[in-house]
Amino acid sequence: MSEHILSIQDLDVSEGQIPREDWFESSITLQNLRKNKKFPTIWCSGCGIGVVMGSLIRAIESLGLENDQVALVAGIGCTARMPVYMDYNTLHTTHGRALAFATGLKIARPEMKVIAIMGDGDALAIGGNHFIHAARRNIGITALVVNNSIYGMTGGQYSPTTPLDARATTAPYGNVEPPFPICDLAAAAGATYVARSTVYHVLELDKYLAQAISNEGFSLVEAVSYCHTTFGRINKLGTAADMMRALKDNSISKTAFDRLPDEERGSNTKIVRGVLHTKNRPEYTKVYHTLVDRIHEETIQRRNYGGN
Amino acid sequence: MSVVSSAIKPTTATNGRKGPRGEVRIFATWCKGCHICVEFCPTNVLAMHPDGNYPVVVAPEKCTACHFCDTHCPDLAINVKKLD
Amino acid sequence: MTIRLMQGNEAIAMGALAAGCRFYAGYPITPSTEVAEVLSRELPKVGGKFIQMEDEIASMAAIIGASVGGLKSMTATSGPGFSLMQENIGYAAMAEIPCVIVNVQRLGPSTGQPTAASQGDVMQARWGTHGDHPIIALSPMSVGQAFELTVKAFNLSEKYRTPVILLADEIIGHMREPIELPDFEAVEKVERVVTDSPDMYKAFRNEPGDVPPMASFGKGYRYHITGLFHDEVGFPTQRLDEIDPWLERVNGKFNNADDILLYQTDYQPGARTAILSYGASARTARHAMKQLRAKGEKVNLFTTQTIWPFPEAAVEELGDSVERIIVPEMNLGQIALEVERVVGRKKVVRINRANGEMVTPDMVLSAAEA
Repeated sequence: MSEHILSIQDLDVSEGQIPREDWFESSITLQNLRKNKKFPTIWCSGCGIGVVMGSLIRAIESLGLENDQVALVAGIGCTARMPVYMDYNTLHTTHGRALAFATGLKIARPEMKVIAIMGDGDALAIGGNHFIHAARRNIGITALVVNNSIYGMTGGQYSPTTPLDARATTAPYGNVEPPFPICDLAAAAGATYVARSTVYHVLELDKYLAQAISNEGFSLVEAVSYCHTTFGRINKLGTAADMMRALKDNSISKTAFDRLPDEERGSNTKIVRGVLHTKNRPEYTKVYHTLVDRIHEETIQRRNYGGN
Repeated sequence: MSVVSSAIKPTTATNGRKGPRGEVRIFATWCKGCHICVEFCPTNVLAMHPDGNYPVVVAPEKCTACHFCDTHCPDLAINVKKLD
Repeated sequence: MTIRLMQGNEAIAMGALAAGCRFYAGYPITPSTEVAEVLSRELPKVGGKFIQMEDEIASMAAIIGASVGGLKSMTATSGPGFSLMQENIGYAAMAEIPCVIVNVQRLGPSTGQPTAASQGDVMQARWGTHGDHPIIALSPMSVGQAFELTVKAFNLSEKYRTPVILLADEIIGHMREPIELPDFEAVEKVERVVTDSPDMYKAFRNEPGDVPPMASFGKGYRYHITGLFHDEVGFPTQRLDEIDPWLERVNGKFNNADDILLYQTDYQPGARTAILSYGASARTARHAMKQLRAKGEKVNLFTTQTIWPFPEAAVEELGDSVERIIVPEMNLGQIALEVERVVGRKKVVRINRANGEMVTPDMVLSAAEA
């Protein structure tokens, strides 16, 4: 029964690092993890963030991108701990500011695929302003927001996406603040690709991430997850597997949602999964860099052919 | 390494099922024992190890390579290779 | 070489271009806005990029992101914006990302008086961001220095892998003086050079006295940069045997760096009084020195462009030879604290003004003749 399990004695690499040979070759995700990083990951047992990490790697692979071409920029929080494990260019920044750092990086290296990895609090609370403006500019960054409706890293305080009446460590009597609709906000601010899925519907998440990264402008993928350690425990929602199952039971595809009669749509509380918004708008670096090229060229011409 | 390779023996015994079969590998040192793979496997290929906090393959012949476990594992600690 | 009548802020922008700056992100704030306006016009002419970000926090973040992407980058602000930038300045110090932050100081605290000058951010430049970290801050006392020190700021930031603050003030920023502009192509620029192969590269290697070379993203060096305490390859760590060497190396970065300490001394043998100053107040100091000497008084003048690290050794030497050092500054005694620390409180005479007006030569003379 235990023969197929690779125990530590069978490894010919030092403790915690990824295995080589036949395990490695059959797994795209293992191949794109950092070879010199220690595993297992720091997330709690059962945390959806690890699932998102696998999904992201598969999405990047499906696009045939070179690892050197990809930059992951993260804020602060459990979700933001994702990039360090992956073999790309990784920048772990300050709380809420991933999109601002990513903007500078994208302008400097427009040929790179820049993916900002943020939690709900990071992206929508402290990072709200940068979220709006990155979408407004339609700059070619993919915002991956893992929404577990809580501030997990700091122990379970409520976030801008915590449901009304839910409990949190800073909402002991129940949350009185209505949650943000992340996807609506992104679309209204100018994002040109907006999609939502959950860590249960992971293959769908792969697909949306790939589409988001391929989109030239600003893309937003909301990956709905759960924090069973804090939010789940405080609100008695069960184990990680229970909360994973709840994502399946409490979601509805966009196509099914659109077919619902009006009152049911209005009173819907299920998570709507799908590509929620796309638009064709010029991407920021394309516009600005074209302008710069023109001014640069004119300046050179003027210098070469006289005049001031 | 040879201990592992030879230990994974795809069974030739069928139970009348057609379709793909998969080979499951579990990386026990990365697994944190969340049970998601065990609870969601549609054909009950997996069960938790009685003495350890990681899963074991109890019914390898039932694996259909649906890939639910390896795409939903938060620790990337389980991997399914589709067999021809 | 051309001579132009130029505003201080414009000279700062020119200095940036001459130093190879190719990215600016900023937010308008009096009295620094001209730096942004000039660069928004001039950067595209050399293929550089300009963006006006949504706030100063984002501006500081964007210049770090662009620097990581390989572009020499700068932002400019004043007091309220400088306060907002502190967290990310600390990030640049922790992650050792080269970048230049211009603070054209105005009267504070808070909104203060946007169009009045001050030197009130001296201590903030040193300790504005939390935690123990080193910083370089340079203060120009003329339009010519505004240009030169901006070039110097870029070169020091690249050489030492550190954020550098150009601590100007509203007077220097808004005044106009003739300045000799060199040929920008000929200006000496420090560039990033990485010779290690990607497998051997350690972005934060801890050899004492050594600055690890910086690889830009997308060039084959896929490494991790974080504001958490990290090991030599950049991964977060809590191990003391990885944190302690970093603390020692990084906080010792400017210890024996003579190329950072920029100051002028104009000493007279037998002088018992010295005047020490910086920025716009150094002009006051120089004027007062001339007036005193015209009256037959022997006076030493020490004008420093480097504010941080403070030129301790030179000031200590000065203190040994005089009975008192007069320190005029447009704040309530911030550099005076450093002078007192180095030569003893009894030797320091503070001349302070923190209401937006310059310290006058008369104020210095009264103190000198008292």
